[in-house]
Amino acid sequence: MKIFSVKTPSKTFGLLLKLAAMGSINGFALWAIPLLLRNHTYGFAAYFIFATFVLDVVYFSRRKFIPAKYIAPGVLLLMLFSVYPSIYTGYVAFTNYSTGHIIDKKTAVSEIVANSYQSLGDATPIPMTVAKDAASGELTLLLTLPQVGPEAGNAKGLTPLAADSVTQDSKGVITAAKGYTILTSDQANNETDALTALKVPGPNGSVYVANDLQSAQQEVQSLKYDAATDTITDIQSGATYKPDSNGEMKSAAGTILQPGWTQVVGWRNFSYVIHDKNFRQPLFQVLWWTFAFAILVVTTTFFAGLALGLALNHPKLRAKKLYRSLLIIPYAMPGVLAALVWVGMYNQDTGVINRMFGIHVPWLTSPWWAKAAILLQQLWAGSPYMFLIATGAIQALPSEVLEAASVDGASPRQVFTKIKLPLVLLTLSPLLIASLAYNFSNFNAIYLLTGGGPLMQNSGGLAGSTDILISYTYKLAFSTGEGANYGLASTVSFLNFILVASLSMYGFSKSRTMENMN
Amino acid sequence: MSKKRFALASAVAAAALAVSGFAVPAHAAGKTLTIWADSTRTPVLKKLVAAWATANNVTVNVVSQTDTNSNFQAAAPKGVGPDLIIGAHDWTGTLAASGLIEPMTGVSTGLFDSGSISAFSYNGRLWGVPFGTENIALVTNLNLVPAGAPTTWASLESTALALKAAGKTTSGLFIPCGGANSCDPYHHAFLNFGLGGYVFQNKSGRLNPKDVGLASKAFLANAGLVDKWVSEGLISKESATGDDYSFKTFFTNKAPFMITGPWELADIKKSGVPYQISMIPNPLGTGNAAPFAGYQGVYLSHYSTNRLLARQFINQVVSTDTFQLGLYNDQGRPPALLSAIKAISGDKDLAGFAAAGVGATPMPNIPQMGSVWTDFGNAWGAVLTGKLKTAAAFTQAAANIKKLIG
Amino acid sequence: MTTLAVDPQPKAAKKEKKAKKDKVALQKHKPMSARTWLRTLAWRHAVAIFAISFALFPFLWMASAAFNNDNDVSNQQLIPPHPGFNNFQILFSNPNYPYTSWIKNSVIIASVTSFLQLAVAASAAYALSRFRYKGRKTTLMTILVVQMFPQLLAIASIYLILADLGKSIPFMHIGNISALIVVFVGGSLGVNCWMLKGFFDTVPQELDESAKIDGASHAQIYFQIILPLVRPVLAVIFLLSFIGAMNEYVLTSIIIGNGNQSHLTVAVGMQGFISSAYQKNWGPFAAGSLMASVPVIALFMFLQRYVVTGLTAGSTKG
Repeated sequence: MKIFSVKTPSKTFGLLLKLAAMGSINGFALWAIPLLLRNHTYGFAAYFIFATFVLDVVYFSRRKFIPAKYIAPGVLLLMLFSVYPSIYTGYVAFTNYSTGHIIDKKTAVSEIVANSYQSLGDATPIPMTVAKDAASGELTLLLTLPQVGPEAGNAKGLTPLAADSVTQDSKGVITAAKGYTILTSDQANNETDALTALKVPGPNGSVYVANDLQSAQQEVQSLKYDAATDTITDIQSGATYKPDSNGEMKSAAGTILQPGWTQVVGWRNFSYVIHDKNFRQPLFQVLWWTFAFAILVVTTTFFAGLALGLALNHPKLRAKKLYRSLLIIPYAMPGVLAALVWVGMYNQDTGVINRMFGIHVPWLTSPWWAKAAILLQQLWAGSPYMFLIATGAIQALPSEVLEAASVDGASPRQVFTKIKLPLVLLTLSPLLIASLAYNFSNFNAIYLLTGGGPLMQNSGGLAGSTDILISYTYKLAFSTGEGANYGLASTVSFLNFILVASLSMYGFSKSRTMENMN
Repeated sequence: MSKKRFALASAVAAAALAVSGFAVPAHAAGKTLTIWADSTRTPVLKKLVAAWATANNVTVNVVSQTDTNSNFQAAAPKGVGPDLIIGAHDWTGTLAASGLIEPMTGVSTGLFDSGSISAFSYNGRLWGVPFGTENIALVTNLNLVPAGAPTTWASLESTALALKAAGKTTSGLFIPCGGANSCDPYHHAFLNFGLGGYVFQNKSGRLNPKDVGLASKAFLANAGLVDKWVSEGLISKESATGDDYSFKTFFTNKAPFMITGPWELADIKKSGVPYQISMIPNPLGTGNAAPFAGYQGVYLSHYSTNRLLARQFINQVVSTDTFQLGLYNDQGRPPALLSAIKAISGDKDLAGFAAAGVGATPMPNIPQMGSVWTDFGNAWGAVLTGKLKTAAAFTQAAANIKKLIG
Repeated sequence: MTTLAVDPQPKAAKKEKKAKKDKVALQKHKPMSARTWLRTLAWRHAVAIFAISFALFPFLWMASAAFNNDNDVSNQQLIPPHPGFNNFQILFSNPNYPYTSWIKNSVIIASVTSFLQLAVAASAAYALSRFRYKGRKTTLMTILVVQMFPQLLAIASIYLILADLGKSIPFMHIGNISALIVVFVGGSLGVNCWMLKGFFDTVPQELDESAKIDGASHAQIYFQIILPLVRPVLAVIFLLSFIGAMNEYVLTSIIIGNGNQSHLTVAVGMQGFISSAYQKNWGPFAAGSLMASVPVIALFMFLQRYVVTGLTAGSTKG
């Protein structure tokens, strides 16, 4: 039987399309790569070169990379937006990236030194004009110093200006000076970095620095950095600060200078997770609920979805389309908004559920009811998805097999348990495992409804009865110590991922999916 | 190379050149300042900066943010952040400790309300310039209490209880908290402070995160009073039962007193209930209680490439009466500049809030405050629902917080 | 230009389909006895109605808040005492919260995203289903396992990626809808690809082999044989992607939530709207949330005819 008729294959059209697409990609790369290099984002430049090269080879090479033609675009995108972020998170897990440690060492040290300049005496601003030395072009601050008069300052120091060589306005601001070119405010603004760095030496170790574009201040430095020894010294007291193992400058007396910087700290975050008593104490309870939550959510939503799929899958059922459309509605509402509605409905006193049934259930405040409340809300929110994919799977069941079974005298129940269910499960098992993995770290489901609460008694004041591993550890990372600890959060995310991935791999090897993959 | 292949290669090259021919975007000339602010303040800010922007030939972009603080922390070190951000004073510690903001220089601190300056100070330096303050005050329902606001805690207590005993009201003093499960201790905190508690020990302007005083000896000695006030119905339990819808009890003349801030003024006026705004009497002794106070101000990004221009903006715009009063007129929050405060001294409501804010406690601005809110709130939730006695609740909270801060 | 005339379905299947249709038509004319109706259909209606009332309850609750002119969340009734359209009016007339733009943005983002996601995932699934090559199993496993990485932290690094790329490539800048779409497409391969591969596997290999003999290229087989046959699944995945992109909150708020209010999506915009003043905005919020689901429901109703033809598509197997 001839089922495919190739009349005149429109190869030219396809070729043109391909040329246009590949031309755009190459053109885009040619345009973007120099820009990426210019902005010092070398990693991304390398990625673009690699990606373009791969695409060119795949689509133009004489060798046939046919499968790659279909997979390459997806995989290249996946590398950039899924694989790379995962690897980056893995890296952060080994650093001290946290509040107070989010910039690099060079910036941190320069900030410590820069912030140690304090204004001398009262902070009365000194009128200032930004100018350039007409001869050398050197950036100069033209200052009208109180009790002294007009002076020109550069990195070397102050030079008095003869009264007849300058013009001043009523406020004492210099508007013209012989031998200097006054910068417009636009020009001065473009010199912001140089102006900020310019410290004009003044009397008694003080310096004059630009405060804004029109005024300067007399300041005195209290800390200085010595690059050779990598130490910071307090100029007055002579105390020295050395880098410690946590990425900050610390004195012998234990005083720490802020800000600190990000640095690799090895296995420290991992060791904290393993050894910290506060973290470990409620861990068993949290883990127990994490598993229960993921498994219960997937099973309840799946069976609800499957049951609905089966019930609505009858050729003679009227209003089928209407039913299906209505059932999809919970899924059609943005989850964040729906969760807010549910929180309102669960309210013990004003919530509609308690009011309607005339009960007084502490939905979100009792440990067990809160768990039930979350499962019920997830059942509501998740069933439509399961219903959709189950409907798809049921409809794809080979009708011959089902017919053959009923001809052989199998009861409807037998057809269901022995044939339909296994076949549907087989088709959907990768999705169910993926769904399990998703729910294992379904932060939003917990966070939006209960925030992990109610608080577990004797749990170190952090873990709640509905906290799953991921929400618990985020609390640990973001509301303890000195603010947010991204390093620790990454560590736990990473461990969570290892756990989920290995369980899923195990699940796959147990299910027949892998064998079926050939 | 075969002919066909050559043709193909040249076609691709031609298309490539055509696409790459698009010019590199030109950099905008002139001065630009970018300010991030929350969505409620963005419109009024745009109006208030317009005159300065034109006069100085600066393009000022005010960009509204959903979460200014965390967006700024992510964006600034990457060079995609703004020059200035508008925000609350309690971000100071986190932003300064991380090296994301610049200390303020050349600011005449004496021109500002002293509380607002200390609120933006951290490690001995000033990190933000304040333009607004807010604190809570006592609101009295003059329908129920025609004599006017009580000046002592004892008279507040007797008035509230007498009205309740007479069956006129259902609750006494309503203090919002947002529900037992997610109780925000902000409004209740004056009770802690009034009875001898504190969050962090304040040692000459520096807060000590190692000294948490929610269960200080003095507070524990007085904690029984809170239990008494809750059980006799002076402190309304309504706030623990739900969201703050219980404002209704006040608006419908079922509660004689409530404690709230200037943000509720519009609704209070709308309800038509005659009211008086006054200081909250000190729960122990005389004078006024010291509620939590919040301040708004502007921070300068360390990563700003226009930092001198930004400082000029702060000096010439933010530190002026026009700007501070403009925001006051739009937002209803009292300004921070003393001259601006003086300019609106005729406002009776504002005077009430100002009286309540004398000696107020700025919310701690050190990063460790993040470990405090949840347990502090949970303790109040437990007290209001009667789950725990006050002393027990705060002993537990303080212990937890100490553990979290580490 | 010559056009390709290809019969998407084998003639045999068509015939079978027609026969089935006739059969159904015949049965339709035959009146069903009440007992058979009870046994085969009544319980199905009952199950559907029960499930729908559960599914719709929160929705009706929102609807009652939306049409309640009192805008009073604490004393809300299921039947509003003063029904009306005040909340809708408030919602559409607040210039600080441009609801219409939000809906428009959401629909644009969701449509483009789901189309691209489908294109990328379907072609990958085709290769994984039809070609046998070294590293195929590894690809399949990698695609799935990568997807399991907890998104919450990966988001921080996605932000960093965009911050860097945006400096050079304007359309990848934070705040740009196109950046969001690229991120959505880039992170979506996993589940979609697996689902599609599963369904591609159900299309018998004999079809493409005989086409190959007839001189069809792999691209022709893909576009003209496989894709038309799995149309129902494509429809389902399009719908799932659409809903996913439309309702996504965390990435969206981080990537485009910083900018102008009129550039937000419904999910992000409404969340900001309600959290700025919970009680005051409750009614308009309910109205907005209610309407936010309209595009999805409309799309579903439109796609349903494809979804239902799945019945016949399945029958081509074997």
